[in-house]
Amino acid sequence: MKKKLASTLCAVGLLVSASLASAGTSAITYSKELPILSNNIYLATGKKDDNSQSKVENSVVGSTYTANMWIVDANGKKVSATATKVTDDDTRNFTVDQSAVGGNVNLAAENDTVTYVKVEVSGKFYPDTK
Amino acid sequence: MLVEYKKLLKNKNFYLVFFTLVLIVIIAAFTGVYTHKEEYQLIQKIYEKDENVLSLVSPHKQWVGFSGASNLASSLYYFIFPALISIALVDSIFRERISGNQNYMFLRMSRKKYYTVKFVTTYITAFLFFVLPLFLGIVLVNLLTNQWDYTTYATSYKSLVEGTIILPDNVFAGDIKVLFSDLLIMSPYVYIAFYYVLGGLFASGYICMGLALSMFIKNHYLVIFMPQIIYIACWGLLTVLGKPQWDPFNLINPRQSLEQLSITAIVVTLLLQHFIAFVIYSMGMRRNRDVL
Repeated sequence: MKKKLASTLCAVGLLVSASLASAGTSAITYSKELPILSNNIYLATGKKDDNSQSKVENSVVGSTYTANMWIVDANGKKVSATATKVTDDDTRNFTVDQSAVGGNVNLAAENDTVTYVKVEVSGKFYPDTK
Repeated sequence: MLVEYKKLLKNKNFYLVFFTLVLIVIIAAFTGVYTHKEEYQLIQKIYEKDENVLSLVSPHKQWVGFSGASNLASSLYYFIFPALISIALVDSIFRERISGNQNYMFLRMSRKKYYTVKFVTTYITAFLFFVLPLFLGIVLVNLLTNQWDYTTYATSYKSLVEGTIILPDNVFAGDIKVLFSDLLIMSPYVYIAFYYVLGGLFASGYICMGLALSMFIKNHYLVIFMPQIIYIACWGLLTVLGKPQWDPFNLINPRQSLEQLSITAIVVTLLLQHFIAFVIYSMGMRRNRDVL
């Protein structure tokens, strides 16, 4: 009985620690379209657990367009600098304001130029990198 | 040419257009300065006053054209300048032809001189209409942020290009310009002056194209909006064709928002635009030879 309880506790402990460790560091994939006329959109949302940098591994921005990306907190308040001209196979690291730690953060993006077509964008967002 | 400028100065639209362009620039400058202050405070907080990072958050990024799509007034300026400048300039031949004043002018000077003076005056004035409010915008942003010296930014930008600057992350990697980066290393003033002059040349090309087409078109409103129609048509068509990097709207953008921008595209598009304007104008001159 004791053995069973111990192994159950171990399993639960492992699960909890694994989920805690991977909460922010796991990739959140996104595949969306940047709106027309350079309006912005949230590409991905995730919980920020620590004060490590956030990371974007962007795979595609359609045609020859480039995107501006930044991070906002759950209230829509900007908590990072804007990374301009993010393009295909482009990785950017963001230093994020401490106030965002412990809550959800959103990766926001817009087309860097004014156009009337929607532009596809896809990649991975990591709220934490530690 | 002096007579042409006297006529222009008597035209109410001349002042109306200049005032509108200046107003858009003033709104863009105030919006830009507000954005800059917010951004600077945020960066100061996030990066704990890291000098290298702060040197890259420069007010010149809020000069009209540089500030990008998030500054609505700045985008508006670059979007509707052909229509606004046209209101003051593009119908000068059309109006004189309709009023009969053209016949009187032909008695005073040769036909060739009349058309040459019209073309040159329109070209120079359109250039100044585009460029002067933008330079005013630079003065305004500098005044409001109390920053005139951009040597620190130029030095940091050079280090960024060379990869020698120490930064906590690579958020600012997109600041590096693919074209004319050396001008930005020299000074943001040199870089923006180049882009404003380039924009001015394209603006003159569009307005002169409208002036040329006014010799074929009978509807006054169509005459006035023709440069804007051409400008928007290029924007629409080249987007559909998947070649926005050849569109003058993107070529004159100091932000260099697209990939695959090239000096070839700038030179070819500018020359082609001027060539078309000149050919249509010459055809119009020949067509109107029998006006008397």
